Amino acid sequence: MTDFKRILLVEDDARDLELTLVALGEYKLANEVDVVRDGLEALDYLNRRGAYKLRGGMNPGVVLLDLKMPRVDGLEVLKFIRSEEALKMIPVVMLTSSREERDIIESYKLGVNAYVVKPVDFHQFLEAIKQIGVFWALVNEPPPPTYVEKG
Amino acid sequence: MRPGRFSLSDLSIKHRLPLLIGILLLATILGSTWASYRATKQAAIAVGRERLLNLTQQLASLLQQSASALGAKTLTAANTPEVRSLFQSKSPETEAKVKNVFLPFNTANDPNALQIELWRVDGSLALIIPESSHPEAVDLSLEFKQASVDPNKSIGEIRITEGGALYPIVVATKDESGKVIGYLVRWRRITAPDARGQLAQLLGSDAGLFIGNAKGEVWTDLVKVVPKPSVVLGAKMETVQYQRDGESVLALGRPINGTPWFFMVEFPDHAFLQPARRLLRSMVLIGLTFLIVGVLGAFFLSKSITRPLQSLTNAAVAISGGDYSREVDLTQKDELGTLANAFNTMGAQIREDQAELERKIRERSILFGAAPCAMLMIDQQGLVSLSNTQATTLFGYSANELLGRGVDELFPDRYRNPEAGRGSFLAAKETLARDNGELYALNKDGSEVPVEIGLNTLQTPEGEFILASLVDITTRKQAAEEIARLNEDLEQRVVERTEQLVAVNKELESFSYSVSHDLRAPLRHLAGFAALLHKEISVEPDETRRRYVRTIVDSASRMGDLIDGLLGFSRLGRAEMQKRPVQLQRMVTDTVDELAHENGHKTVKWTIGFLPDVSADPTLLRLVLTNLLSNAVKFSRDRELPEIRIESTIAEGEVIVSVKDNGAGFDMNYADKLFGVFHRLHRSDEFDGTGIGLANVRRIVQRHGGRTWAEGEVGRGATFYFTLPLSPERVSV
Repeated sequence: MTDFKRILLVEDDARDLELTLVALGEYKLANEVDVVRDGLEALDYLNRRGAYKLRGGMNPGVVLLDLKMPRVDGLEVLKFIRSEEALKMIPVVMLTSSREERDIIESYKLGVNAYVVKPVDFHQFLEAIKQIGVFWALVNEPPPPTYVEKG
Repeated sequence: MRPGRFSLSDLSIKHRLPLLIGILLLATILGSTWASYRATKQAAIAVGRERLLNLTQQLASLLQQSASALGAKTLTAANTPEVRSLFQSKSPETEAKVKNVFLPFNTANDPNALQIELWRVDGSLALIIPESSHPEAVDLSLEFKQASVDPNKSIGEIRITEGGALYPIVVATKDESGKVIGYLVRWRRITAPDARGQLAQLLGSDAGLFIGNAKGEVWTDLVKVVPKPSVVLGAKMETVQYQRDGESVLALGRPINGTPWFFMVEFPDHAFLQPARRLLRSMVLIGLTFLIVGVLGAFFLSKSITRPLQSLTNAAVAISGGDYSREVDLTQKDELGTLANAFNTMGAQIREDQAELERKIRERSILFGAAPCAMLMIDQQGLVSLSNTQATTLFGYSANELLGRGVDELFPDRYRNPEAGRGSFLAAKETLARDNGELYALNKDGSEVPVEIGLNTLQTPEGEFILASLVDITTRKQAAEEIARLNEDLEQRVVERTEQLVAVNKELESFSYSVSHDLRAPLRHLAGFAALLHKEISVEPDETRRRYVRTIVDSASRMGDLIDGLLGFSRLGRAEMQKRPVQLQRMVTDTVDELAHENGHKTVKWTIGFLPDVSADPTLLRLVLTNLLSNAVKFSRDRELPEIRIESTIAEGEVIVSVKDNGAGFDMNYADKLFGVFHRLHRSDEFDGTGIGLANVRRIVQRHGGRTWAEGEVGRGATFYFTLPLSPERVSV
């Protein structure tokens, strides 16, 4: 577990953020997490704009995206990522409270890689976060960072 | 009957019979009269002939005797010595003596005597008495010769002279030696004025006597010279009939022996036909009487026969004139009586039939008139030939105005077919048949009335008619328009309501979304942080605190389940259904297998009856079965031997499925609450669950068009029922 990929966690709710980070911390993944608090910030982060103008390094290995956020919501962020040539191959995991069919279908239509409903039960929550972190940050092989699709 | 040519059948029977009988009688009478007249006439002729024969015979002998007496006297006188001496030596004395001899032959003594001549053999006149007369210039040589030969043939032929018809009596005077010395000639008149009268007495007034030479050249009726009869009179004794002076006569002739004469007696026919004529007259009289009596009798007979015939005829004429009440009053028992009876029966039958016919016509008329729709009968020229009251109301014309009106005039111009001629049959048919039976009728006042029309073709002996029935559909049309308007309104309202519902639904969705997302988040936080707290205090010895925190965690978790159940229920109401045939039997078996696997620790006795194929969304139906079966398992798990029975019955196109257990059961008073959301009849520490399962079952079944209900008793088990429509594709029995 040495070759961690960065995890971009987009989460507007502070409590959820804390619980998520606790969960990730349980599995020693917390240090690899970049946190933004809404969709707009996420876009800035990804586009290296505003506060993240000077952000170095590669694209994140995975984006954990909350669905319902002020200003720019998760689906818009997803849509943007999938429409940008430099970002479109970034794995995105929806991490949300919504079990709505509509949201699930819309997310997959926009090309989400996984859709996880946050369980109410904390132990289940821990388990879910652990699996996501381990899989996307350790197990999964992300696209090569230097690859840019020609044309 | 052709005029100008008479036929017996032109006459009435009353006249025909007397006429026929009259003709017959006339023929008979004429025939018999003619025959008897003919027979009588022939008999009369025969009698006449007989009489003629007798008469002529008598006359002949009378004349012969007279002639021979004359001849004999003359011969005696001629051969007296005085005459001989005169011839031998004529002297005044001898002359005187001779004159004495001849005295009986004088005119004084013989009224028919004319003169006496004495001729010598040398042809010289010896003496003529009276001396003043002259000898007749007649050649007597033949008589002289005959007289010298036969002294008996002394009568000579009749001569016609100025003095009338004469005849000579010639005898020869012979001397003692028998030598002829001279001839005595006596001239006598054959016609004497009274001779005929005398003869008439002998023969009868009607008879006529004619005397002539046998040679036939001279004839006299004893008064004057008459022409020769037109018949040839021979020696044969035959009567002949011929015409004299335009009168038919019967005649018989005979020669007079010893003379060269011939005589003939004539009778006019009427003389002896008189009786025959009388007979004929009387017979004609009798015949006429018969004829008159016969014809009159026949007339009355005929009248008596034809009177009943006449009354029959009168009755028949009356009936043919339409008077069916006429009866024939005949009581006789003969053929005519029978005929009259038959006739009366026939009349009665006709009256009945007519009454029946009139009744039917009245019925039809009433029917036609009382029909609730307007009716028109249209002929082949497109003219109205019959209409009813409703038609007059509809078109505004009186019945008389409608009669004969062209059907074109009863409908607006726009319906008129320009190709078909005005008033034509086709025009009517097409005009009326326009627009599939619905069109506008044109009222007399120019207004148009919407009508529905029905057309029927009528075949009658008078030809083809069209029967049109028209219904004023103004009210119906208004109603239809009103309905259309209301429908439009309704549709508009449905659209509006649908829009509202869609909006409400959207709101509900966003509400659910909020619930799903926004309610769960704090709950998760509650649970999360409580869990963290529980972890923090896990080292503390105080069990109570740990239990409190654990309770918070459990409650949050439970609330999460409730929210999930509620969201699931909400989704069921909105999820799209895909119905298709489902093998219910197989689905139940699979579900049972699954449950048995999950609840392997307890043995349940499953009984699955026959289950038909149904039409349903398989996913949702599976959810129903899982809910009901797991409930049954759950509530019967305390039983020693849990029994669950799944069966079905089919009724009225749907299948009723029942799930029966022998578990805890329920109080029927709360049966209604069983299917409510979050309604529970048991405490959650008795039987776990969210209380959403049966609500889901009801919602799913209702969405399939079915029903749900339950029966139960506390401690004795429960039965849950639901219905589903049978699969239309594969309906198994």
